[in-house]
Amino acid sequence: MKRKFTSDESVIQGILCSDERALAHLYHEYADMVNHLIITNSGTKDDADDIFQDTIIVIYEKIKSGTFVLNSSLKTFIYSVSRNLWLYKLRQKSRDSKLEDSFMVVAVEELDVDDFYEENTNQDKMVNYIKLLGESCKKILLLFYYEKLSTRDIAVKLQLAGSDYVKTQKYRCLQKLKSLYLKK
Amino acid sequence: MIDQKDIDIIDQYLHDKLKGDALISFNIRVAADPEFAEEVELMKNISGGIKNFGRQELKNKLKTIAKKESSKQGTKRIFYWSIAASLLVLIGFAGYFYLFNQKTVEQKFVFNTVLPPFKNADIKFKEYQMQADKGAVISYKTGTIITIPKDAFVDKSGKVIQGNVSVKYRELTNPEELFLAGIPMNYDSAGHPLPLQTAGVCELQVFKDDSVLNINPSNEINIDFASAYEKSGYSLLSFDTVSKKWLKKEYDTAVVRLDEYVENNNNSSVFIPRKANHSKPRFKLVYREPSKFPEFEEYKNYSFEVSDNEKNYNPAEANINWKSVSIAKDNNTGEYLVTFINPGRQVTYRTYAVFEESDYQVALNTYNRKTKEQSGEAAMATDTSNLVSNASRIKNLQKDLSKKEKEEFVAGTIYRTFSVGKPGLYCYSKVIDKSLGGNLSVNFKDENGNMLNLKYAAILDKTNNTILRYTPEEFKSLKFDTTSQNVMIAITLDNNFAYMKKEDFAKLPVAGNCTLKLLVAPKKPESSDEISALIS
Repeated sequence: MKRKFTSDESVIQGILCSDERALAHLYHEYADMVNHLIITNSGTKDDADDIFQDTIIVIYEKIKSGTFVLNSSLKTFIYSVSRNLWLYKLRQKSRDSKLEDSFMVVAVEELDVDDFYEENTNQDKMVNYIKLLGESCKKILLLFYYEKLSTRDIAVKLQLAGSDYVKTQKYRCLQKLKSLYLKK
Repeated sequence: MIDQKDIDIIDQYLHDKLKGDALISFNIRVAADPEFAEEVELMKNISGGIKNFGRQELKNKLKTIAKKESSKQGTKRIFYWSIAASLLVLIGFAGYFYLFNQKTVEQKFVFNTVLPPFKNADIKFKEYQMQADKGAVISYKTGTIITIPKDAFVDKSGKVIQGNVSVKYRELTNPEELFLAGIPMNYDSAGHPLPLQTAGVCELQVFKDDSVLNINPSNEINIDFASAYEKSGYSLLSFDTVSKKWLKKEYDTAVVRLDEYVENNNNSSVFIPRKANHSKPRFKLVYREPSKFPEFEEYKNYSFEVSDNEKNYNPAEANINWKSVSIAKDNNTGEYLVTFINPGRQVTYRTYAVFEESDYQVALNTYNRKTKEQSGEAAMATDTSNLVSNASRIKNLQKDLSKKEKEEFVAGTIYRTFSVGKPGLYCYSKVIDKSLGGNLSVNFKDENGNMLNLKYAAILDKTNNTILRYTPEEFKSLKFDTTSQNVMIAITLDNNFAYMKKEDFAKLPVAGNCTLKLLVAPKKPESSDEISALIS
């Protein structure tokens, strides 16, 4: 059944429930706004696509971690995050870092997005070993470490025997991953 | 030896769930136990790696969504067209765009929002105050006439608005104005932006006490849009602010030249066939003296249809047995005044002589032949009846305008008529119907020879009456119509106006690499006249 996201709260709830339609809604509502912001500020369409994706990731992770507090509209929040991410990228590229806010005048929250682009070679390498794991291991580790779900919730979501079973499986998956990583 | 319990504690640490004494104990163990410290470091890398993997997965999901959404929009567009247009027209139009698509430039679809480059130079609306429950006829300086019926406005809940309302209207008639108003000039054809040329753009907004009003679907507003562009082939488009696209509404069927059609119509010997409208009442008459109306000679099977201008038609009159009928012609409107007479009582109705579908083509052929015989000129092989009616109506509306208003008109002889069901931006446009032969790879310098970084560049194409905008990534292949009168302008990264003199652009080659020297204006332009003065 088609779900309508009539308020910012319903979108947040949709993301908490891992409802992919909430992501589609965000794309439908805000991708053009972010495109415009980036392209009118010396970015390309590819830059705009990247920034939009990164913005959604920032919001997604904040919602999943339970640290997301909506003090303004979701639109304003998305605009602020995109703007900060783009300023960071511009600084990296040493371009003109003064943005023209001609599209929308908003009170921009100063979000700390610098650590979003923080690079860690070991962690980047680890991604390659994670890809070598079986599908069920990938799912359990993603749900636990990225989505921050409890082992009990993972058991319910993946229809597994219970919390203890998930704990054991997770432990085995980690051992497998460690052995792959340490064999490098 | 690290066991599952240790991993559980490290997980709590990584999830920020260790607090107070538990966190202190954890840190002491990390400092004292190298094996545990190494495991914590490894788990940090694993947790970070999983986060990066999760981000990649999420990005892939978003890319899939983006693909799905853009294909959905394409499907929707085709669906709407299929409803709006007849099959023949649809095939013709799709074919036209397909063919055009093969030979024209594909610009990145980024200039899709109404965005004036300089806030102080946006083209101003003219504001009119009116009583919503009385209706009004408004004339704009270009000659456009906006006819607003009574009870034409509703609020958000659909309630009909009464009392004073404010109607705001503006037109954008040349490339400089399109630029200053920031009007998007691309048509999205299945994801491919195609440049539009225009016969004029207009925007209508309605307010009551600063609240935006909608238009009552039962009482739509009629706009007789004065245009300087006579050539046909333009379509009426409306700008959808949600999808940020121009949407096609109807073909340009109602272009009238007032002088031509009204003059023809004033000639009492000319009778132009009209097709019957089955939703309107009509009646047949048999004449005792057919010679009284020689213009009807040679026409068969016509009847009289009650005109839109007739407000007093009473269907009950059709049941009365009338003793006699007389007909007179109103040469101003082309209507026939049919009077039904009984002793002591008579009623007169304004009508048009019309033909059933099956007889219409025969009647049109007769008309064309008679016209050719009379004038020796090529016959008009199109349905002109509605145009005549429109021309008469507009002419009548113009009679009510003040002398000053008439004097202000600059383009008041060619009209395109359409109804407006909601406030917003409308235009008569078509995709530029010729190949854009110019193809330059350019970079920009200022007058001192310094590299000029631009937000975007644009060509004001005076001949096609449009603006072609280019993002910096399109500077490598800047396409334009070489047969047009073009002017190069640009917005610098620090939001200043830069331009080339008209004659300098004309001297450029039409293809190849070149450096364009732009002059940066000392201040931002505040009107289209200022831009014209700079570039000329």
